[in-house]
Amino acid sequence: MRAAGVVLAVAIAVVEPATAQVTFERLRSSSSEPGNWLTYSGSYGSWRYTPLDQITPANVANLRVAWVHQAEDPGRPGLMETTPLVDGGVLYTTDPPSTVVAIDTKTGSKIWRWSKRMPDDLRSLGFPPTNRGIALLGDQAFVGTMDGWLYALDAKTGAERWSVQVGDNATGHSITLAPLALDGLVIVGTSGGEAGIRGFIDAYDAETGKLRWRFWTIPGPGEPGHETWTPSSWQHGAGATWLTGSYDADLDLLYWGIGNPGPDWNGDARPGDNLYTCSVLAIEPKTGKLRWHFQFTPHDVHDWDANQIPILLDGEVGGRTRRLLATANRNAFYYLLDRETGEFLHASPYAKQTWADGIDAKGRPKVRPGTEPSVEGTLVWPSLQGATNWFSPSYSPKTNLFYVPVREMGAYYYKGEAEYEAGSYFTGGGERALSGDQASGAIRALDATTGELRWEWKLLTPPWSGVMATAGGLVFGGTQEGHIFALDASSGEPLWSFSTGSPVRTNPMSFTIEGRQHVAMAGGNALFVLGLPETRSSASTPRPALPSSE
Amino acid sequence: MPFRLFTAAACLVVAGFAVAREPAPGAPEPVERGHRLFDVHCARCHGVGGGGGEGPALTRPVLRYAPDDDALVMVIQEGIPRTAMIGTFSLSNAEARDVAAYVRSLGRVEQTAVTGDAGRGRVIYDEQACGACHIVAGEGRGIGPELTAIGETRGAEYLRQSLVDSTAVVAEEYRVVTVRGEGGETVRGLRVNEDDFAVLVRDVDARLHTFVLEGSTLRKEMGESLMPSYAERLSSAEIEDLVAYLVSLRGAR
Repeated sequence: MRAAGVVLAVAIAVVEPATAQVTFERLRSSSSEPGNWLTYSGSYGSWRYTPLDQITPANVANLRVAWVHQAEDPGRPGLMETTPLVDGGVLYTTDPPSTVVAIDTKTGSKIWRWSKRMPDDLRSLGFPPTNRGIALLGDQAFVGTMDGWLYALDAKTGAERWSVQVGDNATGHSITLAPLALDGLVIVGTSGGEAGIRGFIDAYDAETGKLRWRFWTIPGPGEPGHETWTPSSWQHGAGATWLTGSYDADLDLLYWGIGNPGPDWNGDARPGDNLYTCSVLAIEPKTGKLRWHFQFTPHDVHDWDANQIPILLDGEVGGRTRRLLATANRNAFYYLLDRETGEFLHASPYAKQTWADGIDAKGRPKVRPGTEPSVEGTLVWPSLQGATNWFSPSYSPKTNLFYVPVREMGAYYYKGEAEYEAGSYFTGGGERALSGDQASGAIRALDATTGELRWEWKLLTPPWSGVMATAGGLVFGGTQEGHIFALDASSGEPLWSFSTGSPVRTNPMSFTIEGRQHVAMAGGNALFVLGLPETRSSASTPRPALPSSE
Repeated sequence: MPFRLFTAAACLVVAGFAVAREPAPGAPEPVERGHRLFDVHCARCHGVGGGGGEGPALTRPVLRYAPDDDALVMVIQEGIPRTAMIGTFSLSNAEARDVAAYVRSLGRVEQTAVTGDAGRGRVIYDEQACGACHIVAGEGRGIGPELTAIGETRGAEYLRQSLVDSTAVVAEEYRVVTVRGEGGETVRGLRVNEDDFAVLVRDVDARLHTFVLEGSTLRKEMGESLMPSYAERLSSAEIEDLVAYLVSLRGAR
């Protein structure tokens, strides 16, 4: 066995990309090393697309489990919503609430585990304890924690390098997102949109943990946009920043989605557009200066935040090729913006909605009267969870399709009283969502530059998991009933499924083990790594006999 | 505004709850805080105001799984095993206590009484042979939902609707489907389980049939229930008696 291990190591060094520092240059050209998965969304443009093409419609039915990672008992309820990263044969995944595990991709064996014990009085206002993943830069792994801290770990050992408190959990701040690592910077946002926080985006020095800048998502006195609030409402205006943004290295612009205003369902005390809630911001990462903003839902009263992952793609709109920002917003409209200028280009509904008579030429919704929450309850589509939510969409340059998991669900919105109390819900109402057979889901493929529906695959129930398109012509995703599935990327035809036995609430990703493509996705609190069985023709490199299950 | 009026009334009847802690001056009372939390976390099943819906009504002084306040807090935080009652992962201990205070306050508000006679309802239950499909305390056949403790898990309004228009409130696992297999065989029965790739059907003889959806056409008769409507078979007074009997079922006949 010992001899085999030595030979194996030699073989791997040939096949896998050599383990090296995760430099900014590698991150910005991540598509050139598809055997690794270096950022949360697979690339700075957040395509969640793999250039790997070994798994195809013809062979996907042969996928089988290579190994499984099971979260250790987190000691309190939580959900696995992670996207693992892979670099040089090591997979970095996270378990709820705030645990990082490094795993050898060849064997599924644990290399190190780092976990932060959460306080007994942990605040988790409006969401389950979870962690969506880490960021890699240099020789460090960065992870946010449920109690509002950011940690830099040694990627080889899991040892702590530095830590910093990003937000106070006692006032409802938590970090559930995967940080975004840029050139020497680690960017994070905060949860807390149901706790009346004042949201912000932070940039920390990757080497020292020192705060380089903070951008407040609710403008203070004297700042542009402050006039969209009243003197007493802006301090607790929310605008959480709880999902990972995207980055255009050529324009050197960071794009970040901003959350709902507070209180969520009672807007009486905050008349106005409530900037920059329910917006996407373009920020200069070196200075933290705002370049432009676009607000999808002014004065939102349905909790339709705009934190969904923005996808950066180039395409022809209005007769000329533009740098685009494409996003399927929680409010049920698909938007295209010019990402250099923030100019509104297009919006069209991608799911049932009953709140707007369309979007005007400037991108502002024509809100239907009588759709705001009421004491008696107002039935509106989509539900407060939105037509889509935190789980990722995907873009394939091969099909020019934007794939989005859709929640077709309405809800009765109730309006209640809201009074701010630190560390408590500041929501002003609630909802009763339609459930059972009154709700459903779908994976929809939209023409990325027109928003037109090209195909859909219906789901029995509204999903909580993202999708990934592959160069092999597939779209992977998951269902609430516990299946991981693969669809034909061109037609939506289901080609393969696997029952994990527990709801799938993660995003798929892909990487190679010894040069062979694998896909990872979690069901319940277990991460499944799936690949094609090894055949003689697929073994391109001489390899020792593995004590494997194959 | 109705919210505010109601809250004020509720505060009066549960003043005892405020004694345990000293709230900051001007801070909302526990019942009021609990009311807000209840609207967000609990109302979708238990109804706004706790009047019941998919989940049982909480507008009564005695709650089966929560004989005292500590037990109620535990139910709120941990849920009730093997029921649809899930725990709230995001409430702190203090918030769970606030919700408990609000739920207790509901039990002290005068409720619309169930007008029927439970004794007469039991006779009607037997006359109508409800036991051909339902079990109460071990008696009857069980293709329909067991009713031994139905008064604990469903509100009177829900039960009334089940009797007069069962299709409106049929539970997911009691939906009827008709599935036609590749060989043309057709099975009609209860939808035991369904996902995006398979459906399990239990026929009236309690045999389980598994269909993989590829190649099968699944016809979902949405909203249809095996439960007949009693709107024509019984007078409204008899239905009220039957509702009263069902509401009285709290674990033993």
